[in-house]
Amino acid sequence: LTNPNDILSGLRGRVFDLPDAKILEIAHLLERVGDHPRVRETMGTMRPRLVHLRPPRRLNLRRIFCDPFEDLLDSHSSFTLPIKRLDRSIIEPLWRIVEERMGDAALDPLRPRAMNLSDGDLDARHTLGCRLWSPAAKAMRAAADEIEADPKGTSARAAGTIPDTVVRLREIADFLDVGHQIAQVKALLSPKPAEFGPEETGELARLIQDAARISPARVLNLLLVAGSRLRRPADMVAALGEMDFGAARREKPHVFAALSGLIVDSLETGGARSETHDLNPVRATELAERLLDGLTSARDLMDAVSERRYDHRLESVRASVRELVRTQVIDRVPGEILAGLPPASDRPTAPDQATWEETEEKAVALRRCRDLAPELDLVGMMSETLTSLRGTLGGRVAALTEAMVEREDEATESGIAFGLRLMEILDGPGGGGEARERALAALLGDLDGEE
Amino acid sequence: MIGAITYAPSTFEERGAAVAFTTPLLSQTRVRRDDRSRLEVLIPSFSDGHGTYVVPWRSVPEVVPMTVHDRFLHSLIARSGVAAPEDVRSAVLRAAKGGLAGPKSAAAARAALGEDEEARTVTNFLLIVEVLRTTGLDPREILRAGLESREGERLTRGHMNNAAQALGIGAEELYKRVAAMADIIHPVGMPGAPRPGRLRRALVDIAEFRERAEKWSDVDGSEMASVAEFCAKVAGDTHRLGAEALTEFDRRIASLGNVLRDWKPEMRAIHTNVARLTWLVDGWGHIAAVWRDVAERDTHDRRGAISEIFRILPLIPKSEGDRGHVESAAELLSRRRRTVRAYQDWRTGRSDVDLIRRIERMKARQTEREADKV
Repeated sequence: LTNPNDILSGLRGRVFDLPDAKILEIAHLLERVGDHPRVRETMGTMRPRLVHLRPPRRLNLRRIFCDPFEDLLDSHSSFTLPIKRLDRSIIEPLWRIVEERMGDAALDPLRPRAMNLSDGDLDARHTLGCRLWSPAAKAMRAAADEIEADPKGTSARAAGTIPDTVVRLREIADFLDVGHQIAQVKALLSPKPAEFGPEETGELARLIQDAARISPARVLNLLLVAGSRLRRPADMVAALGEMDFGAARREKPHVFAALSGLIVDSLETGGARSETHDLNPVRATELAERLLDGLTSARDLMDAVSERRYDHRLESVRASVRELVRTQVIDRVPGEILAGLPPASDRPTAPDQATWEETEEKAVALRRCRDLAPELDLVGMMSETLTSLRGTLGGRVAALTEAMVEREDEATESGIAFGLRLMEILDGPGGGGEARERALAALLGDLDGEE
Repeated sequence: MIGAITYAPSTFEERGAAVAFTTPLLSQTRVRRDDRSRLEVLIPSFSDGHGTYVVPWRSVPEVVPMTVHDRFLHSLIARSGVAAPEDVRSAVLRAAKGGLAGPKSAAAARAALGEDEEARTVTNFLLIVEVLRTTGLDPREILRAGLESREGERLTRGHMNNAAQALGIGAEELYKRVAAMADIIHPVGMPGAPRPGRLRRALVDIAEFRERAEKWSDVDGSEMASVAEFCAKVAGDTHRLGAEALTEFDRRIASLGNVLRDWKPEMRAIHTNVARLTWLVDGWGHIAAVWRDVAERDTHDRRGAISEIFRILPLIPKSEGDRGHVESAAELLSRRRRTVRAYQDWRTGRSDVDLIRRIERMKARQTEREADKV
C-alpha cells in the first residue's frame, strides 16, 4: 500500500498541473480527513487555486467561529503587506478549547444550523455568529487565565503548541468581542480588495463608535480587519486622523501608537523580503510602492500623536526601499529596455510579442519609480538615467526611421512603433520631440523618395 | 473649439462614428462632418461633467496631448476625410497593425484584417452557391470536384454561364455583381453561413451586454444601478433595431435572383441596410469589452465601468424613432452627477500610462473579438 504521506507529498508537487475538477475533489476529500499537519500543508499549497476556483464549502461552526479574524490569517499572495498576520495553525487548537469549554450542550443546538446555512447567506451567518462569538470569547479568556495559573493543565494541553498561548487566546477573544461590528465592516468592504472612499469613511466611523461602546480598546481590532480588506490600507489610515472615534476618543493616541507599531513591524518584514529576494523590476516596483504607502501611513499616524520612537526603524525601511529601487530598477531597466528593442539593420527582425510586452512593462516600472524618486532621494540618479536612456532611444528610433526611408518593411515599422511607445511610456503623450515627428512622418509615408 | 453643446443627435451621421483613440480623454470620441463637410470631433464633458465639446478635427492635437498612436490615426482619418464607421474602422486597424497601440493590438488587427478577407471570400463562394441554387442548378457537383481544382473551375464557369442566362444578364456581369455584393455584405455575412458575420456577432454582444448590465443593476445597491439600467435599455433598443435590420437584410438576400436582376435599386436597399447595421453597432464593441473586462472584478471597478460606458453610450438618433434617450440621459446625469463623476477615473489622478494601457487592452480584446479569436 502506498504511504498516505507520500501521496500528499506527490500531490503538493503536482498541484499546478491538475485540472480544476480534480483539485476540487481532492480539497473535498481533505476537508473530510480533518486536521493533520500534512493535510494542512497540502491545503496550503492548493489554496491559491482554491481561492480562484471558489469551491462551494460546507459551513460548520468552526468556520463561523473564525469569521471575525479570518481576514488576518496567512494569505497566499506573496506581496501583500497586511498590518497584522495570524498563523492558520492556531485555528484547530483554539477551536478545541472552545469545544471543551462551551461543551456539547451549548454547541449542539448551533451545529445543525451552521450545516444548513448556505455560503452566501451572510445575514443568517452573522446572526448565528453573534450567538457563538461572545461565549467563545469568554471560554478563551477563561482558558488563558487557567493556563497562567497552571501552565500544564487541561487548557494548556488543549492549546498544544500555539506560541505565546495566553497572548494569542486573549488576542482572538478581542476580535470575537466585536464580531458583530466586524461582520458589518466585512459587508461594507466587500468584495476584497475594496476601495476606501468617503462613503466607507463615514460608515467605518459609525462602526468604530459602536465598537468603542463595548470597549475602546476593541477599535484596533476593527481597524486591523478593515485594513486587511483594502486595496490600499493607506487610504484608511489617512482618513483616521479626522475620524470621530466616539467613546474611544481618548484612546485615539493609543490606537494610533499600536497601529503604528504593527505597521512598522509589517514594513520591516516587507523590507527584509526586498533584501532577500531577487525581484524582477516590475515586482520590485510593486513592493516599493506598497512599502512607501505603508511608510506614509505610519508617519501620518505618528505625526498625529507626536510619536518619535519608530523613526529610526522607519528610516531603515526607507533605506531598504531605496536600495531596492536603485539596484532592481534604475540600474537594471535601461540596459534591459535597449536589449529588447531590435536595432536598425539591413536584415531587420520584428520584435517578438512576448519580449515587446515584457520590455514595456519594465519601462512602466521605471516610470513609476520616477514618481517614487523624491521620497527616496533618488531624483538626481533617476534624472540622469532617464536623460541617457531618452538619448539612446531617440537615436535608435532615428536610425530605424532612416532605415524605413530607404526600404519599407514591416519589421522596421514594428521597431519604430516599439521605440516610439517606449519613449511615450517614459515621457507621457506628447513627448519625443523631433525624433517622434520624423518617425511618424516616415510611418505615414511622407518621407518616401527623400534622399 | 466651438464650445459645449447638448448632445442630441438626429441622425447617425450627426451622432458621428466612434474612434478607438487610446488617449484617455479622446477614447471613443466621435468624428463627424460639419455643415461645410469638414471633419469635427465630439468630446464628451471634459471640463465640468456635462455637455459635449465640438472641436475641429485639425485642432485636436493642439487641444489634447495625444498618444503617438492617436497622432497617426488622426492623420490617417484627416487625409482620407472619412467619417463613416467602416472607414474609421479601416483606419483604426491600419494604425494598430504596425504596433503603435501595442503588440497585442497589432496581432489582433492583423487577425481582424485576415478575417475580413476570409469573410469576403467565403461570402463570395456562398453567393455563387446560392446563385446556382436560385437558378435551379446543383452546386454539389462543383463541391465534389473540388472548388480549386481545374474541373471545379470548369464546372463553376459552365454553371454560372447557365445561371446568367436564366437571370437574363451576361456571365461577366453576373461575376461582377456577385463580387460587388460580397464586398458590401461580407461584414454581415450570408444567413446560415458556417460562421456568422462580424456585424451579426456584434449584435449578439450587444444583447449579452444588455442582459448582464440589467442583471447587475438589479443587485447593485448604489446609485449606479439606475445608470446601468439605462445603459441596458439603450442596448436593448439598439439590439431590437439591429435585429429588425437583420431580418430585412436576410429577407432580401433570400430573394437573391431578384437582387441580381433588379440590381441597382435592390443593392441600394441592401447597402443602406448594411450601413444602418454598421451605424447601429458602432461603439458597442468597446462597451462590451469594457463590461467583460470587469465581469470578475469588484463592485468599485464595475461601477467605474458603468460610469465610463455611460459617458460614451451610443444613443439612438431621433431619425430611428424617438425613445427619449437624450432626455433620460440628461435627467440621469443631473440626478447622479456626483456619483457618475466619482467613478470617472480619467479625472481622478490615476496616471495616464495606466489608463492608456487599459484602453489599449480593451482595444486589443475588441479587435480579437471582431476577428473571432476569443
